[in-house]
Amino acid sequence: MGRLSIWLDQAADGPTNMAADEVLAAEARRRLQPLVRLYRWDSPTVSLGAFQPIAEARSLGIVPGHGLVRRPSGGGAIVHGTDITYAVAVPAGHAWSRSPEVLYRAVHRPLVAELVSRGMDARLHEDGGPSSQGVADAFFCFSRRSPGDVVVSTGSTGEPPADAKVLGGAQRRQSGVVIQHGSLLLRSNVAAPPAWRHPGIGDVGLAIADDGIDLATAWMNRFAAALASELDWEAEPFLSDRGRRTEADAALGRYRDARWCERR
Amino acid sequence: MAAELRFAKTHEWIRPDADGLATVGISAYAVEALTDLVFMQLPEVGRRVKAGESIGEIESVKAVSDFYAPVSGEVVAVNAALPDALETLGHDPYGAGWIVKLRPDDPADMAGLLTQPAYDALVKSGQH
Repeated sequence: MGRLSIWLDQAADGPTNMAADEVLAAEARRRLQPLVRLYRWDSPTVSLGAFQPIAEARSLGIVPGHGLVRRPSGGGAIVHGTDITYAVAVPAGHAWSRSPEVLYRAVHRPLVAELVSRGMDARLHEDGGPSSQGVADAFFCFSRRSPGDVVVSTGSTGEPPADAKVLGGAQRRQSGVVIQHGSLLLRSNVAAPPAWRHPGIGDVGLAIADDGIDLATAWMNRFAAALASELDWEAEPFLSDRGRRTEADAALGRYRDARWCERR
Repeated sequence: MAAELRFAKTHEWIRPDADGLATVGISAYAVEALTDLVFMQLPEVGRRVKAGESIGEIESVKAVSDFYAPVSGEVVAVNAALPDALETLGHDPYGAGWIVKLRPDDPADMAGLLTQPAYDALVKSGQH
């Protein structure tokens, strides 16, 4: 039986979260074991995919007062603040690291099962599957549809039926490790301009706690059970370890550097 | 496929050229695994790189992947047309889809990389 260690981590700012995930990847490489961080953001923050043009974000009107950070992973922009974010780090050689799709499905399928158990019409989006919304290269993550995304029926009628993407992911594949980011949208961010808003899981019929921790916990328990893994919920914040904190401090500079944020 | 190709475990190939340089690209297996490429960042000409160091990034619809220098040396040329024609990587990964040319610090380093049969076996094993 493998082990799966999860940190239900403290909220932090964008650069700190990205630096912590970089350390998570390094730790997974060292331990040869998948590791997970679940976390929130201590203030509303826009995260851009690794190569999304900053000019496009500006033309769409980056939300005044929101933080801005660029992820090492790909994918579309996300307005954080009403979501729960996860980072899963998987060492090379592990079965989940073999292709992007394998890891997306491994992490996202247990959420589908949890949502279905709560009465939601939820599924993984498949290429060519029914969808009235979403294009592959939209600027915003939640406007895109890719295989492995989690979508739920909004209950509205139409052909094809309307759905809402509530969980999307993006990966960074490096020598020795894969890190996958994902964002579970709990509620629409009403502080954002309309173009930046998307309905969350709590907006389409699911009763959840404000912080969504109950749902995230049930999801991760299913994740571990599906993989027959022994699950370790880590009690201390990920960066409370002095060695990890030192590593994260070294990585922070890059994520705070405007040259990184404006690299494209 | 040319017999003189050597491969890194991270899926780059390298081929010695007649002028003492070496051409580097990524394997057909890696291109197929990435699927739907959308963006590529190349290294700067003149950059000195160490074996195993990231020298660029490729974004596909579902992932950003680093690619690495198979040997240490200096980047002396890049395939500047490639980022605007990423489909070339799929059509001709060992020819027109080359990525950079290196001047290896020690050409003998290439002999330490995987042969084509050894690379094929690595891919088949799934241990990469």
